[in-house]
Amino acid sequence: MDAQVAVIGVGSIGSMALWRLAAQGVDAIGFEQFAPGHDQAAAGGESRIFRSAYLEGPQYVPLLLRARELWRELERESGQQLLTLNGGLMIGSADSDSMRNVLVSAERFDLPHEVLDADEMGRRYPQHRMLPGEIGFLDEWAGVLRPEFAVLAAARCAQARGARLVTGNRVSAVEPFDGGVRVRAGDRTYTVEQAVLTAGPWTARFAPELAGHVTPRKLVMTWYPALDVPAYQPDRFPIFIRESGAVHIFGIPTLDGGSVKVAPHAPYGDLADGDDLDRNVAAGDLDAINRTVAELMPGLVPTPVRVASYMDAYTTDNHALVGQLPGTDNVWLLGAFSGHGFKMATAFGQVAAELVTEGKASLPIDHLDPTRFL
Amino acid sequence: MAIGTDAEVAVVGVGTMGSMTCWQLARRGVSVLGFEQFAPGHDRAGAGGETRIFRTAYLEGAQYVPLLLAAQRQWRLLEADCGRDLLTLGGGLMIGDPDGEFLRSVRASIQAHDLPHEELDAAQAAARYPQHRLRPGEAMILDRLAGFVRPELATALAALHCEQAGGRIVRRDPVLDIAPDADGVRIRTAARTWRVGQVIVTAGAWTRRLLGPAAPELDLQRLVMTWFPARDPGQFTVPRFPIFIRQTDGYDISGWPSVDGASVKVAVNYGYDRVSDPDRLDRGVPDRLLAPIRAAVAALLPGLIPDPVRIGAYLDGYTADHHAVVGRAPALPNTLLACGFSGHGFKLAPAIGLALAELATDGRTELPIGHLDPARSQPAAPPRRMVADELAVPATSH
Repeated sequence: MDAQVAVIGVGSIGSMALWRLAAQGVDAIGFEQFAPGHDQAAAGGESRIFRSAYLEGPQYVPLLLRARELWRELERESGQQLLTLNGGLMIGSADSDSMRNVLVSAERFDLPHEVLDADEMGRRYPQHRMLPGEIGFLDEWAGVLRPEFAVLAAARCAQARGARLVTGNRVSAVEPFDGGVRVRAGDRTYTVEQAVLTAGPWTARFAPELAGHVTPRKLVMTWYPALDVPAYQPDRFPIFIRESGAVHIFGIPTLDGGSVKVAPHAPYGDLADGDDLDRNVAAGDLDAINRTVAELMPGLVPTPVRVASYMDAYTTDNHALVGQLPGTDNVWLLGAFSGHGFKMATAFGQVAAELVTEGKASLPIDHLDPTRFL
Repeated sequence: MAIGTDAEVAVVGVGTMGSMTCWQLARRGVSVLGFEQFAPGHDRAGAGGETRIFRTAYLEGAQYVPLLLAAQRQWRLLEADCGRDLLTLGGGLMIGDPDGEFLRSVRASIQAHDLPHEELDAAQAAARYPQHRLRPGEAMILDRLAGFVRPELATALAALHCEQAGGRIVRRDPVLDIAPDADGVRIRTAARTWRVGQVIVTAGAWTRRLLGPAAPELDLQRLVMTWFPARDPGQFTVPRFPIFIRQTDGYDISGWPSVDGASVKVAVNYGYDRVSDPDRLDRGVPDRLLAPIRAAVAALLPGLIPDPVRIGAYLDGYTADHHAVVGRAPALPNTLLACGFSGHGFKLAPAIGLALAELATDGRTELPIGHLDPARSQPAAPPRRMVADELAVPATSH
């Protein structure tokens, strides 16, 4: 055996799995086709949202709370600031499903929050132009994560605890057999006891039975110049998610002292495979987000100064696949986080380590069981 | 303004040079009409990637120094007009063989214009700037009038200021044809036809397509910027880490202090590959093309992790002699142009904008741009260094 566990893909989730495995003393080896921290797949573009009052459903809150503890632990271990809890605004119609989910999450789990009517929003957050009937919900346990640096920090902390890393070689096959798994990377085959599949947009390649339920999608992020930069610094501009009629956007305070990321929630389009990401974005395809920025964010110049493409894998129900890879007893799948996984990456790192060592997780992941699609 | 005209002066291409020209014209009270096929501040051509170098001890020739000093004043004027910091002068390190051509050229500019600077020998350089792993025999010159500008913000804000001062900018309506005559210029866009007194064409890579042989043939190259994570980000911020240019042992790179508190931009100073059509600039950079910059960062900057966390692709046009073309377009009435900045134009932009505004309104400029005369004869193009050639990989499909 080359190691107890192979982690296939050291990106958002794989880096955290490697770190938590190493923290549990498991002899693990991570395989990354590029190098940890690269911007060629899901983790990139400077920032990701962290939030606790979860509009996708209160079943995520325990994962989010554990993730938050582990982000702080990763910060302590790496000596790097990765999570800034500057608050988060959900903006939308008071009677929408999303706003109700947020309120249920907050009340059920006693999360610190404030509900702000339009007048209060106008006074405290004039960066947002409110529409009739809209309210703001301020989640105090929300903020900004630094994705590339988090991945890199986890990979390095894992290495410091003894994990090994194989970079620059793509894994071409993961073959379970009785008592182990063979992993083919480059021109070498590694034999391990168990494997953790954290292949992000390439997930479907390694899970053919689920391929019909998993689609990699292109995500486009856009940054807009602020006219008054201090108004968009983290201390005055919480992250936000906004659902105004057909408009679904999110935004992040300026980190470079000049531009503010505001991007659509919806993916840009489907990809046949993770290798098919085209980084180009036609200028006309940005008209809709530019119009939204012009309409809802009067303090930004509605022309993006930076446009970047990433991707993530989505399931048909927009909930991730976490559990045993169907048809195997020694391969664990954590993939298809459907555009909302990064904030919980540390918690899923713990889940991966628990699945490997105990065969089950202490965190609630039943709603993510891959067999729901079979 | 003559009857039946839309503006005294049209500016075609509101990018790096065009935005500054629009701003300079508007603040002189000239009626200006700018055309931008995208919108000012976009990242689809020359201006983008967060920071550009400003420096005064100019290795490209001492004749630039008065223009650079003028540019510094114009940057400050733009900052005052917009109420924003755009130029940060934290110094600039020129690193290489103290007796090589690179540092000799830098020194020539310094001596000709008595520029504030410091010469650092190997021991002093190593003590003050340990972020750079020096090779035997390398030294540094610190150019005190150096730093960085914010390209997208400067472009967007200059255009905005032009509009606030009464100018007009037409967005997302590409110019299809420019027809100058003795009385003025007719400009046709996708939406309509416009009539102006004069035109200034600052269309970068698209200039020759619009002006034909009056504009130089440009060698269009894809410039790639790469950002690397710092092991200790505090080592790589202003003022501890000035911008730098380093030419040594075949390496030719530049770097900027971190503006996001985590990553440091370091890029090669030459093109990655050739761009045959500026409308099809490919933003995807194959991993194999990153080998030279990874190798340079690994060898020269031990405080950075040599795997990039951000990659950006931009575009610039090179003339045969690597000097831009700025002035009256040969053989075309009422037409001025500025293009071919050959990878070293951004720092000059507000001064070039001033020169063009003066040429359009006064017929002359005091700024020293004689060496950029469009009518000069240029030598045949020498072979130019490109990443794709060095790696002997086939050109990509853009």
